[in-house]
Amino acid sequence: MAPEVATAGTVALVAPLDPEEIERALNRLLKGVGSPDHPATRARVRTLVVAGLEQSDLPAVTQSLIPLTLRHPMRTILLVRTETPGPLRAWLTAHCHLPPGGAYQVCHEQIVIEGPPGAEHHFGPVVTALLLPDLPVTVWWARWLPIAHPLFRQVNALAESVIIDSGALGGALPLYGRLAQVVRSVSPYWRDLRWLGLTPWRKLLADLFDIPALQTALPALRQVTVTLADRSSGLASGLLFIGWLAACLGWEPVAWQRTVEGLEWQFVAPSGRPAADLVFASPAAPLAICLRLPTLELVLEGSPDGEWLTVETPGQATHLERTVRLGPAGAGVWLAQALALTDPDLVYLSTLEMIARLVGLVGAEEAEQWQ
Amino acid sequence: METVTTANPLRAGLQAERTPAPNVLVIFGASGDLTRRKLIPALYNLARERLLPAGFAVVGYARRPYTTEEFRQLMRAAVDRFSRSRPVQEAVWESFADRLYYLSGQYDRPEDLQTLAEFLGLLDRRHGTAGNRLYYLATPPDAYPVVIHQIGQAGLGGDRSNDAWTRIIVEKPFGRDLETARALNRILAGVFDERQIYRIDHYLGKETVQNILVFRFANGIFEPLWNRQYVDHVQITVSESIGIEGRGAYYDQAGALRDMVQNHMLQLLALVAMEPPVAFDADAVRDEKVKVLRAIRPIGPDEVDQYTVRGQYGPGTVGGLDVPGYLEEPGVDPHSTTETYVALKLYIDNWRWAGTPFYLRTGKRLPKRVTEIAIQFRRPPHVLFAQAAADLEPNVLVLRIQPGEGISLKFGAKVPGPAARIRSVNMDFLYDASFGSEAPEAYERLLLDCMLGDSTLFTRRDEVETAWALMTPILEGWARRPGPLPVYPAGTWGPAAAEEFIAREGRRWRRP
Repeated sequence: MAPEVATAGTVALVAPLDPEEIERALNRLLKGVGSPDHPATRARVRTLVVAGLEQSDLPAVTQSLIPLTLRHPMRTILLVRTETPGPLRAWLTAHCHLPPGGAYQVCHEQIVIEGPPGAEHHFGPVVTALLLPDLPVTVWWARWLPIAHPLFRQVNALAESVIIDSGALGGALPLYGRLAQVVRSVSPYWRDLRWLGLTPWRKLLADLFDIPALQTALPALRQVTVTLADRSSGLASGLLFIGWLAACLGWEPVAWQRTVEGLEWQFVAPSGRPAADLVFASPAAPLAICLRLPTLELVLEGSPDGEWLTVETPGQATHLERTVRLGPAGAGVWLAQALALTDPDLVYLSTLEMIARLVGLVGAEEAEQWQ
Repeated sequence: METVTTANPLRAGLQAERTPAPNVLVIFGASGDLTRRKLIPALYNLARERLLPAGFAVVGYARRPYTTEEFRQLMRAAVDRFSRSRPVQEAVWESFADRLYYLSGQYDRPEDLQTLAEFLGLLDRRHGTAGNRLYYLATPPDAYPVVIHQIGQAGLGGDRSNDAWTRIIVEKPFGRDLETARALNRILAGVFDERQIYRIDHYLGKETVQNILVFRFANGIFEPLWNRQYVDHVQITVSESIGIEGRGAYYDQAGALRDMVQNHMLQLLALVAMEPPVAFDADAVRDEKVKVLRAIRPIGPDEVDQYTVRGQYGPGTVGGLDVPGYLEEPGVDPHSTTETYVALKLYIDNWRWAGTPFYLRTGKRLPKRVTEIAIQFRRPPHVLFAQAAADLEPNVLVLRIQPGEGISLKFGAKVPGPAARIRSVNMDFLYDASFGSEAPEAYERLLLDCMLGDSTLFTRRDEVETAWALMTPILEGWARRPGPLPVYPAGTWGPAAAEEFIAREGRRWRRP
């Protein structure tokens, strides 16, 4: 059971925001939290800058960060656009918990920097002064993903790694085509929460094709169908899956067509002309994937609650059926996974390149209709 | 280390997931406690974490006439009780249980092993386990030779082709002295190559034990101080508050030296004292551990009074409860001279550690459960603050293995105020605070490593034999002095003789 987290009082400061004053205020805040039995101690392994927030996002994002800091203790700096004009403000809060059997309360600090529209250019210098020395910096675009906005580049320049959720691009097909270009042009390590959400699916498929008989049959894969609930929430996952599979198997996209329920791409592969369908069909499950091999059909389906992933082989007397736990899904879980990664994800980059080619094949004019 | 075949293009980018190749795990002695308490719960947790391959099955093999269905039910109850992740998730369990089988057979009857061989072939076809085999010896140790022999006779021992592997995990105790350890190694070598043999010491599966190497060799600041020039002495403590917990018959034949020192404590010592390996791979790490063990100055049978202290717990109180003395425990010979406490002083005769004593102590029914390694540094060569620092303790770096896993450094700091007063303070790193995630159980890590073919955390033949070569003369020396052992009341830090033992050289045991 996760330990209970207590929040210590909040301190407000108004511009000019002096980093020394902020640090002193944080020290005072933490001193007030400790008790003789359980003194407070700070644990920080990185600075996480949470960007792209509106004021209304703040409660939900803070709630998703608190359990995360139990696993990844850190200073969080949240950058929030306010609707009301005025100077930049900072709100300081400490969240503390007592680990089971522990003697010390472990605290992490949250700094919210608020500014009205047009004040975003102040965010960078303020954040720079508040970064923890010598510890890694990660930027998380929690809600808004402004890949064409100058702020995007400015904030990312502070960090060694950037976390996005390509799902925030919604159903806007052309933007997925541009994502590869953006990622290529900025040096930090990239993590995509939607991509991390697909990891169990990728792993399960990879595990299945470790079985020698299936591995031999893989080059003959002739069709993959990805079925999603709706375009707005599902397009990112669908494109990422098809892009990944095509990139891994060395498929060359050569044509596309509209279908009744979505899109279909045709490929040239070393051993045939496979096709990949993206179907928006509001099924009971949020995601289902069907792979058709000459001798076998594999169906991977997520449970409606997103907790489970099952493999079925309709009409086959095999023992490949399997259920694995996906566990809780959502930004907080995937964010924890993203923070635990250390290496560049070259497969993600090649997947984005493939998506850019798929979108390019559709053509700008046609893709615009998917906005 | 091998993971899965690289011919699978879908595996790209998933290497960090550490998925083993398809395989069948055969547990010999599957009706015993180890299977129920540790192995099946560990496998269930690996399944839950999606770390088992898609092509996987477990066969429990033992003499008891269970059916597969009965075995599944028993194992389900075991997972309900002993798994670290509870409640058990039905869908994960069902999926795991579909791959869980039981085969009843004798260990010494060739036809039963032949039946097993045929069954494994069937599982290869049914579950795509690709001919890869992992055997786990979870039987009582006296059954090891016959099981190993019969595996060989049934043609199940060697790697049968370039594409399929066979491995065997051997549980402790690995022999009870040098002679029996060598004999067991010879029997194993008759059927398996050394690279197929995984001698398990679950201490090495603990995250904090593995962190000793990371702490020493991934940080630049400690290694220059890690030698006789700066270190006064090292204390390794493995204390238990529990008694023998119903294992009287086993423990009375073993004692603390065999049960703890020969394996766990010498492993800790080796990790603390070894030279940097040339690579972080199985042979490089184990080469360095063996070098350290070989450099330990042997204690001859006639020297045991000088370098060792034994003790046996008497009645006392632990945790507010009255507890019986060792001789009153069920299964223990009332005249037993088996040690429940041992302290040793070891010297490592090499360039780095010459003249630096390593004190080891372990015991049952001590005040609390704690495992730690304390590196006590020398005092400064010239004390500037003699008056201010009269009570100043030397610097101590403590690697806490369990509980409260972490690292603590004690140093002197000026007390705020006009006077030049100095006080010792602790700087603590707590695993819990910096990495809140739950660490896997040692058996999860070790089973997975074995399936992956990574033997870094398993002990090699020469390592085991070197450790026994050090312990056997001590056992012989004690055997020549069979009189009653010093008794310490349960709930205290050992016999008074242990305090005198270390005090002779102007040192004292830490209070963990």
